Amino acid sequence: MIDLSAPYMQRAVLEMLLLAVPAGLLGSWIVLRRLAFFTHAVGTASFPALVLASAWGIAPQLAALAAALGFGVAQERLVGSRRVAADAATGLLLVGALAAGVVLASDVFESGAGVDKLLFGSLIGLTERDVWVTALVAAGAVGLDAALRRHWLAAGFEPDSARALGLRPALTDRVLLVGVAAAAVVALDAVGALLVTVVLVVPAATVRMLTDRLVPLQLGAVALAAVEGVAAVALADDMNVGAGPALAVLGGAVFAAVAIATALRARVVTA
Amino acid sequence: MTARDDVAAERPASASGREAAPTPVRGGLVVRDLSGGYAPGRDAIRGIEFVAEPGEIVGVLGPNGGGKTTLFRALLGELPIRRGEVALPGRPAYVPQTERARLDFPVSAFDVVLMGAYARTSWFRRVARRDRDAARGALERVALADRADATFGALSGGQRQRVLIARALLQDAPVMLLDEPLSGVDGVSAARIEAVFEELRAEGRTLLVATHDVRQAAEWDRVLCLHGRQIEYGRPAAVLSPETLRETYGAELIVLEGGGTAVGIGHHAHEH
Amino acid sequence: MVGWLTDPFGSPIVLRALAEVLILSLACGPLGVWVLLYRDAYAAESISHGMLPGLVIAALAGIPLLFGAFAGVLVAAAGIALVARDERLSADVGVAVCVSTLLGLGGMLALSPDSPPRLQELLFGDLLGVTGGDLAVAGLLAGGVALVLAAGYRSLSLVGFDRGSAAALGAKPTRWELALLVVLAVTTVAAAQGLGNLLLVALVLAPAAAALSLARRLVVVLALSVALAALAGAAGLVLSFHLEIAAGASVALCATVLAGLALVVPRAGRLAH
Repeated sequence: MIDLSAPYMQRAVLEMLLLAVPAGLLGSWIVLRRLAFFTHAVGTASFPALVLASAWGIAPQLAALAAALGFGVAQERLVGSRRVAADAATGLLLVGALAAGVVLASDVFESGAGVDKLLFGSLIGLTERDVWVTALVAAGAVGLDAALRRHWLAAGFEPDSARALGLRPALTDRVLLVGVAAAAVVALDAVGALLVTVVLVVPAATVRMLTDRLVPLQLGAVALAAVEGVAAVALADDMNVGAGPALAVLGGAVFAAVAIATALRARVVTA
Repeated sequence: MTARDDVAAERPASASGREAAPTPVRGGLVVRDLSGGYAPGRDAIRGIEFVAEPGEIVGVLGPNGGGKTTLFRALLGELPIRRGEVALPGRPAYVPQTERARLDFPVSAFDVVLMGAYARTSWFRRVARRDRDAARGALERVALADRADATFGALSGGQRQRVLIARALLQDAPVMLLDEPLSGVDGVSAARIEAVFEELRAEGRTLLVATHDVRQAAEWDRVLCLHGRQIEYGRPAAVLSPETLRETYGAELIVLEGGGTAVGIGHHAHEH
Repeated sequence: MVGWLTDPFGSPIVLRALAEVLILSLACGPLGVWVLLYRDAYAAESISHGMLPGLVIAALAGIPLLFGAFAGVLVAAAGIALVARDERLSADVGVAVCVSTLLGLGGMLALSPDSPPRLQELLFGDLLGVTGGDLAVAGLLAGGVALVLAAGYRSLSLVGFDRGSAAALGAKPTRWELALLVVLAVTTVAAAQGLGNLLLVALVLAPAAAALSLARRLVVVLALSVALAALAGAAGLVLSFHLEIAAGASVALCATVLAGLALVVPRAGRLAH
């Protein structure tokens, strides 16, 4: 099972448990508000910033957050210029960031191992500070969700009426994007820049197939993310790989199982 | 855009909205020389000018793209107004076309109606008990109390429309804007919706109802004919002449046998 | 100055790499234009990212990457298509689940301690390692893609600009949308070796985005897209040689910078949006 005597394991397990909070709360909104591509892009686009952070010795979370905000602004500008569609803009920025990261990395890292760690995460690489920052973001997620869930629900459900209902969707939606970016930033320590969605999207998507109501969705997603996260840490330690790939395979398998089960059940019901 | 503060009278608290006698609500709406649009340099609506009294239902007629939804957006404060002004008491309630709502959202009919109370609920607090009761009352008024817990997306088109109307009821606004609330709606729902309109009119509210049904509009208090600019405004008998309708609808017009009534066609695309 | 530009191509390795990117430009250039017009950028991104396990398995098994690429793309496309059918999950969520699972699986297979360390090449390409045989295969695939796109030009334009009327005008929408996805898959396979599964989409999307921004008429856009892709390829190789940076990444970066420049230039094209 899990050997909790090693400090790196303690940190890894704690990190996954803390990550489960934004994964469930904000992840549900990512799924409902169709922000999955954005989440993947924000995580991946932080890659060059992480390379620089490695080189200059600054906190990766800071660099990643700066990259995420830069990405968001660039995306908004591009789409606003009306010369390129949203997903094309995201795709271009994403691949540009990856290419830039690779070019920088050949200067910064002697071997490919550094790049692998950044892209796919590393169990051993988690520091105490990383865990504290994750705890902070988890608390922030709880607060934001409590304050803004109604706004996010109304704006997503039927955007035309949001302002008529007295809400301010432009502002609150932007806060949601910032919250998602912050969650991505802390997720990438644990699972790597390429795999942010395995934490933030997959558990919530899995639970979404099981329930039609918001509160069960969020709580279920938190629980599933916690269980899957800890199991992934055990698996990763066993097989000596990063937590990200382990969680990806685990989460994907659970998702597939639930998808098949619900599809079969629907067929039985209608038959 | 000038707007006075909300002067709606407080409704007495009750488990069902129908038990207390309707308290008068001061509706009323004044629009003066209103022009506005999205594209720079081009006005989608021009020269809109009319006064609607409290307790009146105004039918808004016009072809697709003719400005009905644009006018509503302007009245809601969502469209840049380039000229003119609007005076109305408080924020209008808005009932959009149901196709714009997401059917896969995890919301029940009750959850949707409850959105009408969001404006008066502060950040961290739960929606007040009184508003929850009022939400149930609103669902009763649209005859959907038994479907309060059903997922919104699982309801029929007519039922969804009634839920959105109930949401607007919960907002308790003196002025209500409804965008084609009866299109594609089954007979039972339509009858209930029209009955609610009568109740709202009796309460002193002002309703603006965008519609393609000329016969329907003929039964209300006033009619506003739009085609980018204002063609005509006034009592149905005076406004609904073949010439006015022809000018409003242009090529989309079918005049029925005898030249008595005309019907506008083609209402699937939504206008900006 | 001229020497600086031509020096890199004195080496046969770089010459072969140049041939590879020129060949790929023939396919990626026009394909990218259609991908953008049909709003399939997310599909392009996802299929290329999701093919990783196929590449890794091929590398581990010692078989040519081509087969791994084909299998990887098939699995990715099938997975994406399957997940897109659940009504409660929007398309982007399903695709994200599928792609991240596949990426993670690829990472797991590649990074477990017993695996030979070749992950970087698979992710970012091995442009300078292109052999004569690779060139032949790429030529075949890219040539096929270019032919299909040329032959389908009229139908693709009809369906792209007015899907509703296309059938009445003699083009079947679903058939051509499917054809486009198949062409995308083939191009992805062709480009995977040179540019890697993470970066190849740059050569598909970026020159096309630039071309759509700079030109008005579709024929010109298509030709310009090929030219810009070739330019990005050549420039990328020159920079890679002199600055000693990874070739594939250099090409991808040049392509995206080109797109960036074109998108800030005052608007000339009408087709972009």
